[in-house]
Amino acid sequence: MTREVLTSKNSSDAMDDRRHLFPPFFDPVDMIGLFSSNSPLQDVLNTAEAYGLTFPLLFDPAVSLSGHMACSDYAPASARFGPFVDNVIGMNWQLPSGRVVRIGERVVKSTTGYDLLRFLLHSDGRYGQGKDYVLRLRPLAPSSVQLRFDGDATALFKLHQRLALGAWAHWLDRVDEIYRAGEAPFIEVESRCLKGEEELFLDYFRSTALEAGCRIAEAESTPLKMPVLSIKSTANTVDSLALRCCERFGTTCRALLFNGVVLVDLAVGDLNAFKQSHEIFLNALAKEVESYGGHLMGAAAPQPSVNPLERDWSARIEKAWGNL
Amino acid sequence: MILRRSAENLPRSVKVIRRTAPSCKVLHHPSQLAAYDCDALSFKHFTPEAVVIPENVDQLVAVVKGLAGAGIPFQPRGAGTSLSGGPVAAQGGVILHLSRFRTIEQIDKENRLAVVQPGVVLSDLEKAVKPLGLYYPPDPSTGPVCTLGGNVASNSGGVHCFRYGVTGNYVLGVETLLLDGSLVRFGGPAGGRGDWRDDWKRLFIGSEGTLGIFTRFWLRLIPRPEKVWTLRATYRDLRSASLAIQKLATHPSFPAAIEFMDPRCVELVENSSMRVGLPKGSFMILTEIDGPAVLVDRRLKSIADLLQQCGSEDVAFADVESERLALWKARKALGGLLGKITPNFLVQDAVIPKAVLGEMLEFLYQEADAAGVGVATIMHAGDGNLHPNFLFDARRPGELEKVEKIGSKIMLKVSELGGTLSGEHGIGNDKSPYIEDHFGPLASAMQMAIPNVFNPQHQLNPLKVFPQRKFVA
Ligand SMILES: Cc1cc2nc3c(=O)[nH]c(=O)nc-3n(C[C@H](O)[C@H](O)[C@H](O)COP(=O)(O)OP(=O)(O)OC[C@H]3O[C@@H](n4cnc5c(N)ncnc54)[C@H](O)[C@@H]3O)c2cc1C
Repeated sequence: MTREVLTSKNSSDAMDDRRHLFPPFFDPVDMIGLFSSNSPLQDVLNTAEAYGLTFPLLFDPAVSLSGHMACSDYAPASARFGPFVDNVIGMNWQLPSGRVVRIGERVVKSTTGYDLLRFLLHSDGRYGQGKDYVLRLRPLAPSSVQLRFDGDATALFKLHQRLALGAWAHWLDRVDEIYRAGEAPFIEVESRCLKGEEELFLDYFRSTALEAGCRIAEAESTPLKMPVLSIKSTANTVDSLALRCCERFGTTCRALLFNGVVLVDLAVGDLNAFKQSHEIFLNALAKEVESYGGHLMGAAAPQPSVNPLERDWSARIEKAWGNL
Repeated sequence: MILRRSAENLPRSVKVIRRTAPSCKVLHHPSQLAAYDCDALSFKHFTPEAVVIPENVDQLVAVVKGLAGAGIPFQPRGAGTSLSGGPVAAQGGVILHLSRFRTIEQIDKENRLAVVQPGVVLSDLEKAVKPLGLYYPPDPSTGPVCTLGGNVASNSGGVHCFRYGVTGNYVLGVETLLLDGSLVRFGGPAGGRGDWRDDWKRLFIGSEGTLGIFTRFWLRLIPRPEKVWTLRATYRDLRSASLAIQKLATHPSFPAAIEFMDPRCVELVENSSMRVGLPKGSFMILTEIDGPAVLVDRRLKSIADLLQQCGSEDVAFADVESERLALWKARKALGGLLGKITPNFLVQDAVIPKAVLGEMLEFLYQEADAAGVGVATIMHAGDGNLHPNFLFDARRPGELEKVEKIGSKIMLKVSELGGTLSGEHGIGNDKSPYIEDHFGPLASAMQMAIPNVFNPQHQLNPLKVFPQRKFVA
């Protein structure tokens, strides 16, 4: 947790800013706490675990939350807990002028004012940067079931549909289809549950696999890496998109089946070389997903284009906030 | 008998609409306007000059361009069930009633989404998705009348948002008409940013009709829970009830709802024909677990035990619809009951950290008792979303003022305790006086920059959210 050093225009501004900032706190009853944007998520996990809580959205515990949010809006556990922006409920935000302002609340539910919180969290540093985040934590279920499903494309598609539309969907913490160059794709599922419930989950998975025509095995999950590209798409395009990306890039691609997101790992090599050699493909891909409300983000994503209307809006906001 | 006014006597707004959108339905007779002069805060009246009911987007665009050009303020309205003074003509002008935009355009089961117009009534969407095994969780209790436009503009919640989240968590995209007459889409079926660099959709959700007029939504659907268990328990003291709330909220079986009624509510119900046999003076807690039948059946015992271990001697539970409704009866009866026993009631909406529930209730009772005003409190307890209901008679001089004074003290107290002014009803013009104090000058200035971009003259829904949003023609 950090204690903010304020750079302010004058001392009365500074007093006022301080009154309205989030102080360091941890509230196990509301399952929230303030964490520095730079602290590794491992710190968050350690603090939370002592209270039987966890922060489920995670690629690499050594990387900070800011690092996570810069590369994708969604992590595998978003299947159950939604995107990062729905798990950050407030923050101390540093404006380009250096002043720090409190945005959002320390309670999860709020309809007070305009939702600057989510807007800023998705603004890629254009209007300043997060210093501390109030994170929403979740109860840490004591047990879990992890499985791998194999089958042909039809069987995996059937399985995807059954899992996504079934009554258990809300209890699946991760439903990823993994595409690796030269290998057949497979689906991995993880469910966190209470002790003694594992068999119920296994029964469900076994019968669903059978209906879909898939083979099922208990398995360690494929190691997660920070993705270099995250593609927000829809539920019914996500698997074909992951396949296309895997074939094109020759790297591991993970389709978050419930969120319609493809995460692309960069196996080896230099990011710039990757971007250059796939520039035309990436630009076309961006146009394609944008047409139905998706987007590309992450280090390998092309710069988003800005239309004149948006340029004007952004400039007006930058000017207003820049004067503060 | 409706007397026709001669053309010369027509309000200017009506002339403008007749000129710019001649086929559009316009109401301007006082008897017609009376139905639009308030929201569910029925004791506060703001008579509009006219009400326009466009049939389609073309008419809406023509009306908006006409009104914008003529310097007349206007405000979008759904069913008018807002409890914060959101859809009222606070500065006169015209109400744009979106009731004709009521088509469910598409339900895409495979992609688990619905494309809807803003005038669709919430429960009509629910009826449409239910046979497909799908579920749209946001559930304000006005479901049978409120519209999706009002829901998105207010970012509405309901009893099941503790686990499922609020309206904003289900909006994949919005199509909105801006003041210059342009129609833009933020997001869409994929729910991302689309061809925009910034995530503008986030600013429009919950913007209370102050940035643009919604014309279409892409909404996320989820599979319907297979089975629900409802559990009800009462407690003799607040400490035990609070403990039960805290234990439920942090339980890894993730209850869908955790509701609370204070002893004053219990007393009102038990003294009425709606009585259900709750011990007078008790605190009532209702909770629901839902999901696959085998899973929730397994979890039932641990939740019932939890309620009991916190001190309840009357834990009751049911999974059969009629019995579940019986357990809900006291909680659901309250709205209708208040309507019967008091000429007016005001439902406040605030969110507090759960740990300060006792302090907040004590404060409420002290203030209400000192002013001689009745108060009965319910709460979406999982979220700390408190709804004190103040009972009064607006016809009696000074009563409304007393209630408003208590309301303003509550708002200050809520901010002081680390809570927020509204959890689901929005700010409207009812709570706008408190918003700057809540945010502080710096965050308020940042907030105000948003309407200043999209609606700089505040012609669209003036005096809402921030009191300085006054339209100057
Ligand atoms: C008895 C009662 C119980 C309630 N219970 C709940 C509850 O449990 N949870 C909850 O969240 N709320 C509750 N409410 C409040 C209210 O029902 C909700 O806020 C609801 O979403 C309002 O919908 P509406 O169609 O009536 O909108 P309106 O009241 O007509 O408008 C609400 C706001 O939306 C704006 N608006 C409407 N349509 C559009 C559009 N197309 N484009 C842009 N802006 C638009 C309006 O300008 C206004 O600011 C309750 C109200 C009552 C009276």
